[in-house]
Amino acid sequence: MPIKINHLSYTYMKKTPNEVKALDDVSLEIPDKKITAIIGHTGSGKSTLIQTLNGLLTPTEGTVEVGDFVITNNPKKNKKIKELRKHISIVFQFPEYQLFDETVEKDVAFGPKNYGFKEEEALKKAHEALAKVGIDESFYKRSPFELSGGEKRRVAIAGIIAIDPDILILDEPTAGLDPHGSNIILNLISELNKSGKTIIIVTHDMNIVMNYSDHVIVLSDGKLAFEGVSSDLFNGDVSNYSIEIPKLFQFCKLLEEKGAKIEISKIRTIDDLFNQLKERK
Amino acid sequence: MKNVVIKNLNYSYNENTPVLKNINLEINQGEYVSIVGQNGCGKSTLCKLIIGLLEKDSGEIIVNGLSLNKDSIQEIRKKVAIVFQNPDNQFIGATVEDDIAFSLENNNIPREKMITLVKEYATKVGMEDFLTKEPSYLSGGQKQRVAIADALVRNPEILILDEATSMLDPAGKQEILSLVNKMKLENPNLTIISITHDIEEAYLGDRIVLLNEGEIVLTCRPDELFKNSELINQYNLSVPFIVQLQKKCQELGYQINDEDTLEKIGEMICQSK
Repeated sequence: MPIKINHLSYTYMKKTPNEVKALDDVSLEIPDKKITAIIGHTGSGKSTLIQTLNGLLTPTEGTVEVGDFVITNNPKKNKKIKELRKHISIVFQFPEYQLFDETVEKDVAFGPKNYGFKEEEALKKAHEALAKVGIDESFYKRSPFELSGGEKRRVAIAGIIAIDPDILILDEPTAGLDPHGSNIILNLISELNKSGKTIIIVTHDMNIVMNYSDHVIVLSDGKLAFEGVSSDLFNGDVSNYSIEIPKLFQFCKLLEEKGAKIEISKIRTIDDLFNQLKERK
Repeated sequence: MKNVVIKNLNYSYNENTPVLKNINLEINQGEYVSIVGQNGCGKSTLCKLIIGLLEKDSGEIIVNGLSLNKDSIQEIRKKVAIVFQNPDNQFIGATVEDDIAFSLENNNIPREKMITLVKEYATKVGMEDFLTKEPSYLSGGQKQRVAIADALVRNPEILILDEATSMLDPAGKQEILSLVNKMKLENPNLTIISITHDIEEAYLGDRIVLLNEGEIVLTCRPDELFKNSELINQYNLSVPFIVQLQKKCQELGYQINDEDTLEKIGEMICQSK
């Protein structure tokens, strides 16, 4: 399901002295079955944007189209929101704070049960989802609260995978995790994408953007500042966006300046770089 | 002077899960120590034990010459301040000035002095223009700056940063790191204990303590750990790009030295045809 956003604006506490315009006339497209990264400084409108995608927030102006669903500023027309949320789900920042049930399997089965699956089917879906995030049977009956931070987060993500949405939105999925925990989550995201899911990641980590994203959206003060591929972003002027250019990208530029013939837009990892250098020889 | 002395410290959440095993550590006054290690290795637990938020099973913790126990805990807490990870979980006041004043209210500081101190510390952390702002108008970095003002206004001997930058964007993180640097210059006697996953951040300290599964594996100067990519890989720390690159080049047979800069490695790669 491709996503199309047309002239979207969102204002918090409209018509009060505390009015804040979080999104200002944003138009963009999020490609189907790709990994899109949304970046921008704190307060740039990232969280507001992702909450409009599944109807948690309704636009002040403009529309959001997700496949055939259209979300407008008229709440009466937005009747299919519950249906829409089966197709597009958000994993919020620090999702482990939202775990609540007695056991891991019950927690993950909550979503499918909520969408009408019977207990047994819901548990089956929960077990499948847990397998995908690398949580094995020995965890099923344990309390989610006695797990480590990284395990909790994987369980929380399994809760969303169990609903089997077409589009997954992850807000800072690796924040606060150690490098090992981060890699597990990132590999999982990559696998989900390969199995046909559209992925949207909100992140401050430009290494993730370089290594994983197909498409990048930059927001700045509620406006669309950039839309395209990461290499074009890093090549341009990023001084206003609170972005740290990845060291790998900087190194590729350095090689290019010294005359190496490499195609930076196709390089995501150190291995990619050296493979290109090898082919060139 | 030794600011923190930890002897044979053990702690477990229950019988089956020891969290810290026989920890021995000494931290000098004015030292900046980074504690690194995987999630669940016991870093935060160690800090909570130092300020008495958790009670040890056995061993001894001595802060500023005082052995931590029920009688000394209040005295010790006056000496140690902690800044936690989540900026939203430690903002107590309705406004920035209220929040900084809250720290002082607990210590019976007279109102007149409090007003001066609040202004002074808000200025130190660069938040003097936000005194009457509510937390919802502040960025994560700004909230953490206020949290640092809350901590420092009590004039502690020891400042603990428990992943204080991990929820911030790169700009917010930079704000905090340069602030910590400034604090250190203004007060060389302030001891800083920083818990972090960020190897570049850990690099700022005088010393690194590497924890793994509740035990101290290594304490050394940051550059010593930084060079040892084997240890970094073994304990799942993030690997600085230069180390990754050197490793890759060595695998491919380039003659690389530890001191080689990106510039130098770049030249070597371009020249070898």
